[in-house]
Amino acid sequence: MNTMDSVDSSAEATSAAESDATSLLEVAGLRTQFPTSRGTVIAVDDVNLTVERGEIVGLVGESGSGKSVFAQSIMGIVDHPGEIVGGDIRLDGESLLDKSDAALEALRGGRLSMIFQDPMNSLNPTLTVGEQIAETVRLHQDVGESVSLPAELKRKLLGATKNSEAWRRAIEMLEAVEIPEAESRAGDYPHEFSGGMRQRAMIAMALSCEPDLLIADEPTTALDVTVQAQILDELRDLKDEFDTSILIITHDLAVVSEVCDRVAVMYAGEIVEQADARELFDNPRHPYTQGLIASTPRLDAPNDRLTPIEGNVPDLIDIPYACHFAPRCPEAERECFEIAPDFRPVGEDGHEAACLRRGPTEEQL
Amino acid sequence: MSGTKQTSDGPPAEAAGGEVVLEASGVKKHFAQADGLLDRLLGENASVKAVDGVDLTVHEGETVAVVGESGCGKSTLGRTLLQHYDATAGSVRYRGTELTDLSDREMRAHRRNVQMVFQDPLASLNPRQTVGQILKAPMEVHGIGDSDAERTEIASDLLERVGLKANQLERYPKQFSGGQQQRIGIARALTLEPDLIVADEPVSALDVSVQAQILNLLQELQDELNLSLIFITHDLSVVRYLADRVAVMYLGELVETAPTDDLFDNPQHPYTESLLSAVPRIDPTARTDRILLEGSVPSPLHPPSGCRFHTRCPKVVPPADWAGSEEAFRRAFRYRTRLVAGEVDPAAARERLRAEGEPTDDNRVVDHLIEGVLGETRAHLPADAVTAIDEATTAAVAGNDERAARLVEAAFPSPCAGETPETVTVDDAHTAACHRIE
Repeated sequence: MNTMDSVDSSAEATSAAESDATSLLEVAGLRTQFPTSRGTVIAVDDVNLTVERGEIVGLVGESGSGKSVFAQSIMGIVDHPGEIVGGDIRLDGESLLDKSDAALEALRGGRLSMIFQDPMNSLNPTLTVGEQIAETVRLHQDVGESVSLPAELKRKLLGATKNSEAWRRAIEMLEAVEIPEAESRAGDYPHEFSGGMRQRAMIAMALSCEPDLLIADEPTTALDVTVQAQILDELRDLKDEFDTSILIITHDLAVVSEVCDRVAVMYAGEIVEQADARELFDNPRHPYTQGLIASTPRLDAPNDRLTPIEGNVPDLIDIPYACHFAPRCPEAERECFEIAPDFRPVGEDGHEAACLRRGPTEEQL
Repeated sequence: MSGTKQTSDGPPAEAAGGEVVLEASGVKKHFAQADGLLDRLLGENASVKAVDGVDLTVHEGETVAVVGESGCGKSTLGRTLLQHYDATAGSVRYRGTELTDLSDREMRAHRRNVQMVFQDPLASLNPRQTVGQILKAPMEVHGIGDSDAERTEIASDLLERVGLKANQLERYPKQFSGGQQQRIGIARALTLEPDLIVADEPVSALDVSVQAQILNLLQELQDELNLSLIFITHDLSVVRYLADRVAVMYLGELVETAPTDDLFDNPQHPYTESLLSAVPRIDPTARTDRILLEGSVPSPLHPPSGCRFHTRCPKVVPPADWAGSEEAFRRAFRYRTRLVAGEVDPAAARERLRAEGEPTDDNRVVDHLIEGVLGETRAHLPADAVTAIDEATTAAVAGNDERAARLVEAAFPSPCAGETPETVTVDDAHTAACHRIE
């Protein structure tokens, strides 16, 4: 798995404007690892993924798949002592790995934004929600002088006056994510918000700087189902409204199916399959993806019996077998433990899987 | 809903005919909220009505799911049924014995019959004890097995029964994965050979592939041991897979109870409908229009009058003499709810107008507030309703919130806000509490 096959065919690319020739986000051969006392944990192992403009891509995986470390790698916020040791991450063709810390800092909260599972940890409890969003707006509008001062100090010096342009923009953003009585709620502190409203506020904040790419790491996992539905609708509408590309990281197949255009499935540090969302769920090909779907209880298609995947997710230290899924795979043969599988076409529209037991169908050859 | 094959699950009918294991009626659990000195002096004795009058029956071998969103009281209900909490009111009978009357000592003997499995297995397992010690401790307390050797043998058997190996008895909980820990939690619940298990979100913390293993294990054990199961969860997909019967809980009360297929195919209560519509579905053809709920769950400290769901219900019933459309009434009712809850904020509206360079006189603020909530609906309301809204909003802008609330309450009455709905039988074993159901 070495090719960057994401760049569209040249005929199309030449006719389009130059910026359309490259994907918004191109991750190639990314490897992120953590040294531990027991050995090196390779959390992200040679991963390729692209996100096009205006696209919602889902990265699905269970715990320990490396999906969150993948997101942190893009944002440049991998926890110490983890580090990116290989590959490249390009935003609009520019490598993020070459950038200085200051330049990355400016990108985050600018062209790149991220929201997390627990919005309470990302909101400042001592500032009202409106002030925080207004602050982000100001930082974004005036990046030059803002980075050096801590937000709170800056606020005290400059003052988030309620008549300011930034405050008005904050209220508009809260309205955009459908916070009721936004003009009043903007004056509330984060603890006065419900969980769903906090996540909306986070989305409002993330979008207030009009990012090109929003990374949402389990954005609805902590929320009740009725609230989750609202947030998912919100993300989809906002993509249309602001033309933001979104990368959703989640364990929930149904969530992915609801909102994503394209899906990549990650297992033990590797992407094992990717396809258009419809194609992936209609025609899952990798045994892991098939197992994941067979073990998911379905409201839409009540299961007679769930078929769990046997065993557990492996320890990511020195995985001794070539296909990481081989020990749990019902179809694994000896070669699966010895030969690393390449990505190969297995269905429609760029549907690919990394599995020796799958090949192109006859039509595709 | 796609009209695919309707697999008839045997259990509901069968189970309903089985002997009653647990019967709860009118169960309440209130927590005193204000226990500070000042509160007591002021006589403020509000309580959190976590569970507020629940009837629930569980038959032999039956799985009853209690489903609801966070804060609805489902976990408190589970613990109250097991007498981990003393019920504030109501009756809980286990095979005819009233549990709420029992002394602690009498209850101890009963504990072996009713056991609990928790969401976080690691937190519920003593980290300093080996799995063997964890499994044998309850046997010692209840005098099961004549010797340590015999208890060890029982523990080994149990471990194998839940899919672990007998030679893992000497290990500590943290040496196991999350799914294996939950197997240990289940094995422990089984040590005393209970006939009822209350499982509180037992698979919520697990990955989907492991979750399926645990769900299948629970089902196998249930068949094998003829266990009854109360399954408390927020996950409706899991409910559909596992449960024979479902009880839907909102703000301390059961709003609907039905055999599983009935509930999913023919939901009666507007809350159930919106809950089902919100569940994400893999199959796009199986999606229904989302019924979005406005606002958030009210505080159980002061639950709404009448039907507790009325502050968020998309199907609030207009009074018999309402002259306009149902939709217009519901919009106006929504405004009533916001005014009464003090959610309408004239000061913030004024700030907003000022920031936009608009005039900020009272009339302009009133218009802005009404426009914000009613929008186009205003034109479709009967004249006296418009007058009431104008007067109420003017009162709110003048700072007279009580008058504002009184005015809208008088102008937009609804049986949903005025009377508590009876629990009505819709169909065999299918009941719901909603004014729309005759």
